[in-house]
Amino acid sequence: MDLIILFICIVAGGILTSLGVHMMPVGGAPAAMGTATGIATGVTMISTGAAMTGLFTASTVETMTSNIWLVVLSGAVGSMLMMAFTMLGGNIIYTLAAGIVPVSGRVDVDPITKRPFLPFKTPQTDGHGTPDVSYISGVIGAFLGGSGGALIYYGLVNYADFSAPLAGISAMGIFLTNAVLSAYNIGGTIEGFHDPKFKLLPRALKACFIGSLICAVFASLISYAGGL
Amino acid sequence: MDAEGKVKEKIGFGWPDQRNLMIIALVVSVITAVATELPPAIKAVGLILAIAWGADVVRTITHYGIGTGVPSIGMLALGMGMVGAFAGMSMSGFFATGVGSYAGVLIGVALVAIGGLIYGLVAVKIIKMDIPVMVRGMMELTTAGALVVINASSMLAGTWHIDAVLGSVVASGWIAVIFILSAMGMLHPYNACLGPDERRGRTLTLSVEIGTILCMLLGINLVFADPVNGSLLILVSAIIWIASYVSFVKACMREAYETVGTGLIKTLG
Amino acid sequence: MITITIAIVAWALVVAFLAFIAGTFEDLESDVGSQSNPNSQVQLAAQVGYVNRFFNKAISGEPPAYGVYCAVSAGIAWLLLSNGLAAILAIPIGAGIAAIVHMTLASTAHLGRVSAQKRFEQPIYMDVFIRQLLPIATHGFIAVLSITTICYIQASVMPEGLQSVFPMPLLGLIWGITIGSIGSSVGDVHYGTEREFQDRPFGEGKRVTYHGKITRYAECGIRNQNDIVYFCAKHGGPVTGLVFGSILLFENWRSLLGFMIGMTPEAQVGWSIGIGVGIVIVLIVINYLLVGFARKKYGEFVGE
Repeated sequence: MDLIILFICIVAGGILTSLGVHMMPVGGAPAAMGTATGIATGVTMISTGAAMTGLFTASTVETMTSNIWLVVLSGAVGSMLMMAFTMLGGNIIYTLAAGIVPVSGRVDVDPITKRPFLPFKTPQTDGHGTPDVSYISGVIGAFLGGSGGALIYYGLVNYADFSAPLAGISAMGIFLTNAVLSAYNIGGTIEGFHDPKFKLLPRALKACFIGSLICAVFASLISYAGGL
Repeated sequence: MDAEGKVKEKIGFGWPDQRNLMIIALVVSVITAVATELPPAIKAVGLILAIAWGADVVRTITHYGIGTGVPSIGMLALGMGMVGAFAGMSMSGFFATGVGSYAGVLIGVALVAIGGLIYGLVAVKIIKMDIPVMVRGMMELTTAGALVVINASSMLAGTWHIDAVLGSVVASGWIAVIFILSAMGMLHPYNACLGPDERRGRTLTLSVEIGTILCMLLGINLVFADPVNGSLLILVSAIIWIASYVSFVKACMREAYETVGTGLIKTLG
Repeated sequence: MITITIAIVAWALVVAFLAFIAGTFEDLESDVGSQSNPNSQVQLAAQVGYVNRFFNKAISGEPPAYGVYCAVSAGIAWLLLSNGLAAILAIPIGAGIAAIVHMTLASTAHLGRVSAQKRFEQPIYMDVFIRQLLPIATHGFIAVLSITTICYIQASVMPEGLQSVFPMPLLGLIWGITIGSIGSSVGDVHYGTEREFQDRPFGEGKRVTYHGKITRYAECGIRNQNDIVYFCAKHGGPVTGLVFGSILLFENWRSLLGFMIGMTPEAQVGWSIGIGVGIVIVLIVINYLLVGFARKKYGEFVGE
């Protein structure tokens, strides 16, 4: 029974990770020059940074209580906080230090607040900054990514009898494999859920499902054989 | 071609071609991973060869233009390789004693290779990345990553039985150092030598250099528990580090456009 | 029931202040040796004929690089601590060894990249190479020292309730990757958008046609990394520090508030989750107002 729940935890955590990574607005290298919308880092690394902040909070909470909802939600909220501050800091630099208005390059009007983008966009660029729709998409994406990481950690600690450091580094490893597969699917840059690239999500979910299954097999081998 | 031959002679080490490097690295690192009675200074050679093999595979894959950058694939290899390495090390519990437990580690490495194969197939068939060498490359990369982690753990703990490894490598947290430095050892060389005039010999020398940094740090860790083996490991790694670093710097300075003390920049138009 | 003493509040404040310093110097270190995303422009510059005197340090982006330095530093510091050395000596020695590793990685990256640009006639300037190594090491030393101290406090010193179950090197890896990704997404924008293309018009995103054509002549002579870092220290560095310090401050603050309000452990964690969600909603509103302010003040794009 423990084995089945372990598999469910790791696979569900992998799928949540993939979904979260697809929603984070990442502009890659061009965003650091104000040529693309989103955060100016690579997809893998910003999602890992956010999820690890969440994992850190979740690990402390896990020593206090064993309720699955509390552990997963505290990981999600920690990750959400990190992402929100980072995107706000980026916008401060864009607006106050470089004098740029945050706009998106994929749509002409903001889907959520209905403010127009096109008159404010610099020609020959693909948008710049982190407008409202990308901000909200990033916050939701960090929520899902952090909950995925915390769920993997929870499963490893409670159903595979891993010690806390082993579960922490294994959760980071499994999270990284899912995040990298999703990054390959995106192709480097994405603006959030309003981006047409978001429609490529299903094949990443299938890929992360299979990938997480393999990692779950390894994790169950460690817990079964290590206890002999 | 002739100038390159002369340059290789001066540097003094001609790298074997890719297939031979893979076979040599695989055989040597598996031997040093399985035989736990060897002193750590010899296991260091296996570790360095495995890192060089991984860097070579990364170079081959990213030659085709992977699109999202080099760090991702190093992290993927080490992430899966590390979990698989732990699974491999705990396989020894399945077999009673003696020869059977050696077989456990080998079965673990084989499982990691199969896992890498499935990852490569997923990347090509489901995510539709059309890179020709992806499947074989992913298999080799995860195996190299797992072998590096097994070698490093057995250097620190003296054995790869999972209980000892959990005590001295994971509970102390040094698994994080091993993980990130071996990932850096595989992905830094090609990224650092990126450019149209990149040469394979220089890139692989750089991967050896990072591998020796990892071995020196492991030696510093070992010296407190086991002074003789630890200081021998530091000495051997320091000698290899000096040789590889000096040869890399000299090769770069020789093969750049020009190396000047100072100067103005070329103006345009 | 976890009691809120003055000690736990004081340690949480110390962690937040150290995080502020670490964030500032992390971003400045990535400016004093051009790293990560703006470095792609320095690389491109030689290819379009803009030979330059920048330090092309290409260590695969800031998150893995800072993961290496902080994990190595925390690992060596933990090793010395568990063998009897006092923290005041162990932590700087660990950071020093990480700085040496940093210098080797930086030097090989610069030499490798420049020697691979032979056909674009980019020389290796030995004075640029040797002179920038020490500022890179010192800026990195302060950032890594602060993060190692944060890991030490979180792993060993922090009182019950906020103490971490992860060992020091793993904490170093986690915070190293986090601070690398924050510095890369916040501070590097100031370097890449503003300082690298200083002679382009202010107030617009840098167009694709500008890419590679970076500013090579400075206020006084040929531009080098020290000109860049003095400019970015006025805005990019402190904002990065503010972001990382605020993250750590609010993480600890919401946990402490939860401990104060709730009666059982479940209630305490539940309250801290609720306060976290509230903080994020406030930040969304602040972002909305900031973007609205920019739109109203700057107006629509003029020019062609």
